Formats: sequence, structure tokens, C-alpha cells
Amino acid sequence: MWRQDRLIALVLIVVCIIAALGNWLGNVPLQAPAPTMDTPGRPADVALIPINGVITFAGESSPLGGGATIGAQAVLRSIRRAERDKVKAILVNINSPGGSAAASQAIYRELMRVRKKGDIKIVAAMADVAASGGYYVAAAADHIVANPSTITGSIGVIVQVQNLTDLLKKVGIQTVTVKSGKFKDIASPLRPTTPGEIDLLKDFVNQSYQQFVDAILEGRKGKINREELERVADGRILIGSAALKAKLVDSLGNYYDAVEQVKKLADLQDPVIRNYLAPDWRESLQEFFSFRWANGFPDQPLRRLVEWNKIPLALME
Amino acid sequence: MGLIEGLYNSWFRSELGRPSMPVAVASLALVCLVLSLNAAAMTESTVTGWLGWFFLFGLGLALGWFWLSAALHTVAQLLGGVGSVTDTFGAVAQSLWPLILTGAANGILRFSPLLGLVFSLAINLWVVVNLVRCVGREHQLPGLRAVLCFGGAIVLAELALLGLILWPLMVILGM
Repeated sequence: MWRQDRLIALVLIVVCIIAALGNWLGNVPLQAPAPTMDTPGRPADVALIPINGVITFAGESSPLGGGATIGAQAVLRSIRRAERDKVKAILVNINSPGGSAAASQAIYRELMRVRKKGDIKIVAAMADVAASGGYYVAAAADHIVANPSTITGSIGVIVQVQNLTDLLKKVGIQTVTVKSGKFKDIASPLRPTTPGEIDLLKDFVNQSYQQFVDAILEGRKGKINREELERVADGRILIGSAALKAKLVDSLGNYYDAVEQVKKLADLQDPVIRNYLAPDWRESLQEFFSFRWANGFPDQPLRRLVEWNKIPLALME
Repeated sequence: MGLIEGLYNSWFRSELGRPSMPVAVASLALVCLVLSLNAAAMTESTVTGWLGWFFLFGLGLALGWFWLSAALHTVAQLLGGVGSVTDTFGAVAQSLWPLILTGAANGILRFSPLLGLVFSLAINLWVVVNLVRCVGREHQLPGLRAVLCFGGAIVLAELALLGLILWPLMVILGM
């Protein structure tokens, strides 16, 4: 039989191990995170959030080089960090053809939430392309700066369905579908789409489109009205100078002109600008140890987006 | 049950002597488990992240075990110690067990930073005292010599580390 002192010692050790496990599972930082600094001794005045690539929720970059998608989750986290650090402005540098409707909308809403509080000014700078979902995000800014040749616009929603029946017939593949409701296999590429399904998909696309248009009207209130917006919100792409005429952007210029706008709006002289999307050391370590081979293949998230969303609702140029 | 009995004797009845090799390895594995969980909590890692830490710390602990034991054994021999290499390895493994308590210390740190810090410092001090006592016991060194042995081993280990950095530099740049 074990003596009592041994049992107590054993229990104490088990408690210590459980405490360590609890610390980890609790996932709570042990200390409040320090404010993000750019220049030693000076906190950041402007949070730079670069949005490069296709916008998805779980954006991933390739360790083999080249980022393919931008993760809305990471962008939301960086906006929260900027808010926590009490920056004066957020500069969103967009170079994106769009992405998933939900991810673009999530970033837009987060930026609008911050903007409505009034403490932080938001400026969007457009690079090569800021179309569709990319424009959705930009619409949340107080001021949008585009290069004269930036590709923007493409305000619209798209659902594409392939019909592979002829191909399958050629190779001798037959599909048996058992479904609980008539729309359960909507957008199936294994049979022609029915008129009822087309109506449903139209309704679906129109609802998402309406949300997109309403978001732009809310973000650019007082700058563009519904009539003016509907004239260009038919999916067409525009170059920056045409977008200025169409009141989709506020001024023409490059990144440094956007910085000037930030200084003007937030009343800053010599602002410290820090990239808030760059992971801090803890996030880098977490990313390093959460490495998955799939990360090496940048197209994976896009493929998954299509696989997961049976109906790939996308805002893409 | 034999392993648990061995761990109990190793941790709480160190006067009985160094633990057997399986007990020493089990003790270090538990230390590795707790330290990796602490690191995973600090970096908010996923399960794969924790596994990464566990294997990384396992490697670090194994190397550190060898490194520290080698330094302690060399200095102990110079000071007239009589223990074998196995005795030194056992003594080092036996001394590190208070690090298991760092899980609790980190838990306390969340509620009271000062108390957590004091607890953490006490754990580190405990490890040092354990090392001095265990090496002194295995090599039959009196108190002062055991302290000197520990201090000398740390200096020797740091010098060896410096050599490890400078030697390749010398070879690469000098050749």
C-alpha cells in the first residue's frame, strides 16, 4: 500500500501538469500585450494594412514564395490590434481582384465599425487592382486614393455553374442522386440547371448584390447617390481616372499621396506607420509550428473555397 | 508503479542516491511536457504547435543534459570528485524536476504577477540548489567544493559554447 505522503506528492505533481495544460488550453496571454512600436520609444500613429491577393477567410501564403490569398481573419485581427494601440489612422493598401463575398463583407464591416466610432480615420490606397471585393473593402474608407490606371469597379456578384452532362455521357459515367429536397443538389454540374434553380440563384445573387450596393452607399454617403452608383454598378471595370469621374474614388495618386491624405485627415505631422498585418513574434512562432504542407500550394484555399461553398458566391474581377 | 516509486524517491528522497536511467528519462520527459505546454500557452499555439515545442524542447533538454553533465563531470573530477559519468547524468536529471512546478507558477502569474515571479525565481533557485547538492553527493564533494563545481561548470559550458561559435568562424574566415 502507498503511504499518504507519496499520494499527496503524486497529486501535487499531477496538479502542476494540469495547471500547465490549463494555461495552454485557456489560450489566454499571461501578460497584456505590449503596444506595437515602430520607432523605438514611439508608438505607431498609422496602421498599414496591406490587402494583397484574393480575399478569403482563411488566407494562406506560400512558404515557397508568393502570397496567394489574404485572410479576412488576419485582417480583422490587425484592425483590432490597431484599435487597441489607439492609432490615429488606418491606411488600407489594396491590391486585390476581390474574393469571397463573406470575407470582403467582414473586413468592410469591421472597418466601418471603427470608422463610426470616429477616433480613427481610414484611408484606402489602390494599387494595380482593387475591384469587386477589393472595392467592397475600400468603400469603408473615409477617403479612397486610386492610381489613374488602377483597375477598379466590377461591382457585382457572380455564381457560375458548369454542366458536365455531355462530358460524363461520353466517358460513360452515370450519377444517381438521392436528395431530401428539390434544391438540395442545386448548382450540381452533373445535370442541367432547372428554371426553378436559376430563379433561386438569381434571387440569391440579387440579395448579395443589394448588400454590396447598400454597403457602398453607406461607406460613401454624401459622395455618391444610388442613381449614380447603379449607373456603374453593373459589373463593369473602370480605370482609376474613370472611377474618379464616377465618384467611386475621391482622388488620384499613389501610396505616398494616400499617406498625405492620412496626415491631413488625422492631423499628423510626421506619422509612424507600421504594418499591422505583419505577425508579431508570437504569431510567427505559432505560424511556424502550425505549418501544414498544404500551405506550400497557394491555390489550395481557392480550391477549398469552391469545394466548401457548394455555390461559390464570389466577388471577383 | 515501480516508475512512480522511482520518481517519488528521486524527487523527494534524493538522499537515497541518483535515479536509474529510466526514472531519470521519465523525469526529464515530464519536465519537457510542462515546459512545452508553457511555451504553447505563451505563443497561443495549436496542438501541432505544442507538438513542435515538445520535440524541440525534448531535443534541447537532451543536448542540455549532455552539455551540463559533461561540464559538471569535468569540473568535479578536477576538484577531486569520485563519481562516474552515469552518476553525474543521474544527478543532473534528478535536479531538474522542480521545473515541473513552472506550470503552476505561470498559472499564478495570471492572477498575481508578483507572486508568480517570486514562485518562478524560487523554482530556479531550487534547481540550482538541487544541482549543487546532487553533484556534491554523487562525487562526495564537501559543500564549498560542490558550489565551486557548479560555478565552474557553468563557466566551462559558456566557454565551450563560445568556442563552438568561434571555431567555425575561425575555420570559415581564416582558411
